[in-house]
Amino acid sequence: MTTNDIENKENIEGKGKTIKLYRPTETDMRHYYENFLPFNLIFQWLNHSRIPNNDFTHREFAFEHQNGAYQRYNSFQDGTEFKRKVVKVNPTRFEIGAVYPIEPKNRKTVSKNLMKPISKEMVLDIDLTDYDEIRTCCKGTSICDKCWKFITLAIEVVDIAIKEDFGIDNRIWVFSGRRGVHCWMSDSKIRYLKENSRRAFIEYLDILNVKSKNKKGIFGMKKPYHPHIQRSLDILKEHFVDIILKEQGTWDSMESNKELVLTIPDLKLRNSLLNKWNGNPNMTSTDKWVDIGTQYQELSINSFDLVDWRKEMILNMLYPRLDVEVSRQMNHLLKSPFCVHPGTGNVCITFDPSKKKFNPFTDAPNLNQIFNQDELDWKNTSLKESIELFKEYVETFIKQEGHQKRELENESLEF
Amino acid sequence: MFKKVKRRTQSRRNFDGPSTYLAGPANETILKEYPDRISFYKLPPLTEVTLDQFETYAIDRLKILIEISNLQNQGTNYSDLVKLMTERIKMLIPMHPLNTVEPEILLEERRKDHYSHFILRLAFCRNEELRKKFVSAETFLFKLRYAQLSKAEKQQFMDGLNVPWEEVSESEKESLKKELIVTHFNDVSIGIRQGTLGNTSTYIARKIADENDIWDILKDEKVSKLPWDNVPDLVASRKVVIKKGNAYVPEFLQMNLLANEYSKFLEEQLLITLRLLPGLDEDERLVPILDNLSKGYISSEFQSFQEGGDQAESDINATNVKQFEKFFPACARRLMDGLEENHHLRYAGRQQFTLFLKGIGLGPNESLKFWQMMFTSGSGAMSLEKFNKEYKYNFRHSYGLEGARINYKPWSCTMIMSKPKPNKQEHHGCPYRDLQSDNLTTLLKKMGMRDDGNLQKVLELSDSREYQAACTKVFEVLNSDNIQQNMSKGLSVMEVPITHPNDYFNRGVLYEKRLEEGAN
Repeated sequence: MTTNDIENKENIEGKGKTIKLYRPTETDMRHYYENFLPFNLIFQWLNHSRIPNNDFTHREFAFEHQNGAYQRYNSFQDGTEFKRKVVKVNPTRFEIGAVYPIEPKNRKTVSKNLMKPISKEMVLDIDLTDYDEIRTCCKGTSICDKCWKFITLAIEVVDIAIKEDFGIDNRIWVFSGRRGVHCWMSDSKIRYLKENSRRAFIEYLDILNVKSKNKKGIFGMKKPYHPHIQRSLDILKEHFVDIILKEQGTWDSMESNKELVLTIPDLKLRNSLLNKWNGNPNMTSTDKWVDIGTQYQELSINSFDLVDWRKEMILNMLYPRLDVEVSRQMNHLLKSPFCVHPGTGNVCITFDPSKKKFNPFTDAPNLNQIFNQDELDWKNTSLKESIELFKEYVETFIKQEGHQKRELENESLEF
Repeated sequence: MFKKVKRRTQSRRNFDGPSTYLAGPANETILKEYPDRISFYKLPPLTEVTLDQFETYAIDRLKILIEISNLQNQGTNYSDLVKLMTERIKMLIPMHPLNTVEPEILLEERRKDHYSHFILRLAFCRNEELRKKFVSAETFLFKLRYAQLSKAEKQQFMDGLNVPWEEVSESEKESLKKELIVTHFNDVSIGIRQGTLGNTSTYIARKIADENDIWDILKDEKVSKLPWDNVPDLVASRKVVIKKGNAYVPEFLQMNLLANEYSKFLEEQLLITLRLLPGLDEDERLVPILDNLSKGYISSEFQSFQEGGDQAESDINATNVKQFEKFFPACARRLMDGLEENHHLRYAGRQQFTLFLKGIGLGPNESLKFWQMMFTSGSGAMSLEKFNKEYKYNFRHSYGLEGARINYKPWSCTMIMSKPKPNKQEHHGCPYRDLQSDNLTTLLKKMGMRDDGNLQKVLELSDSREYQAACTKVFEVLNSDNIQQNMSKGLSVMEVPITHPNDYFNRGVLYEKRLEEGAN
């Protein structure tokens, strides 16, 4: 089950430049479901073909009702029923789960042992809340241009690994509506992975070991770095000065002196740095970063390698922080693309980071804004770009899936 | 006991010998049941054997496992282990390739291997220590046999396991050169140092391997690729290169991978066997044999301690223990230092050190005096009253004077390793395993090691987890004068590695005593 992301009104106004806010009403939602949400595309995307099959009919959907109740194990015959039910129930949002051996709505007619998931897309969840200890610009639910850069970088680092290392071609990124993104991977090989392989996949990517109790970060990493880590570092190091030292000014404050100093393994250097910094309240993060190098030289420190420490700091500050559980568990549900975030009114649109970097402040259509553009036709609204992108993606994917199926059938005929 | 058992069997059934249980021509059976000369032993044997065969099969395999296990305890490295064991294994549990010997002999060999493995599972599932030893020795046997397979045989075995391996072409390997080097740098370096990779004539352990050394090894390794989800553990730990959905697994990892799978599988199977064991009681012929088999497995361990144990006994008492400190191995020295510093040792430390002192000949009364003195004198030490109330029992217990009155033996290296590792305030355990290299260096320097190549070598051995080899090396360096003199007088010097802290002590005392006696 997902955490119920019920929004707290006080959090809506953050310190940073907050995202356009509009709390959609029940009428808004019904109108949106009836006229805008591309149910048929979502059906095809989850069904992997145009003709309904088990991939869709045995698929679990969950509703979050307007009163906050959460209802699991819904399932539908086809895209039409899917839309009809959603419009009727009019949930604040709906989530997508796994494919089961039987239709989930009939789960009570069979033994519990049968209700083990067979397949599911692999998903990734990256959320700015996991960056709260690093970002200084915003906290909690608010985001701004500055901290969104963490997400943009995370997408870049992860997307290339998914594509180059794991060879996953069919993947789509989705804005979660407020402060994060999801990635859905649909290659047929990936959909049938067992949980231990899903765990391996996510552990391979999760170099910071986010869920570990040791919150001090990763230091003393094994050298030389694995190609994935080295490639990530090469991407991230270009942005460290701008994002961490300049924009975030992570170690500008006096309080953060100790935090930074504690990552340095040499006691002598630590004390010397702390003495100087505590006496100079005007030193910026950049000054301190440079000072570490200077004093390292002056004190002829040789108990650790400064270059290695710098690399590890860059990784600790900028490497993507992934929500491991969402990816690992097959029965985990995740909000569907094109749902509306109940707290912000933003549509969870799909995007392709290889074509264009996603900017939540300019690229995420808000319900309010869409209704102003056109009451009935998405083609006349700012949803157009995203729906067309999704349509193209689904069509290409289905074609490829069909080829694979035919190939498999031909192969089995040969025997 | 066995005679009686045997008679009873004979009265039940008449067996003429091996040929009676052959079903059909030998060659057919081999191809059907034992196509490979290596096995994961997934299926237990189903045909019957005589009790005699049951026993001889088991004993021959047991001999091999004991020898492997003893060598492993002594910290013998993999390549030496292979050298020492290859011939023995060929003699006792041979596995010839197909068509190299008569089919009947081949079938008998393979049956023997199959049965003996399953019989010993019954004998060694009984406790954690036995299970661990069994798995570790069997896994070595598996690796050794795997390494001896021809390319075709390996392929055939792999095919049987349904793993979709595909060998990577030279040009594809070359295109991944950079990635392969960085990914396998550490594993290959350790392999070179331990002698498991590369040939020993180009042994480059003395210097640190560079990229060229690593590539030299990797170039000769067969690299296979397979869909990454077949090797989730290697992926999760980033131990392999992954590209476009394929994991690239060099041969040395394949063997490890199989060996890991095999040991995991064996551990599970031993636990299952343990649960089924009560059902065996019905067959009272087997239980005594199994008891005997597992007994033989442990006994050799404490011999080294007992042999030398008496020599040093008399002249040690509570006040002169400190004078013998120079004969202490690093683990005992660390405990002594901790005790002097804190006027206290935590539970595991007290256990380990009391029994060590007992082993060097400190009697129960002297021991109690010693501990009382150490615990109650010095600044910040506890009161005598507290000592008597809270600790006295504990020390008397170790000498078998309280409670269950078990006469506990000094801990061997294996025993020490099997205990939980020490935390920051604790001093027990094996320093070569537990200490960071700077703290280990400090300790070794205190013991008299100098900052030279020898110290470096010891640190390297500790790094590559050859703790007993490291300890033996320290002994040889610190006692080098005495060893030289002993040898020059034609006195025998022990060459086997140290496997027990008290053995370290006894050897040191023995060499010195001999010289003193010679001088008088």
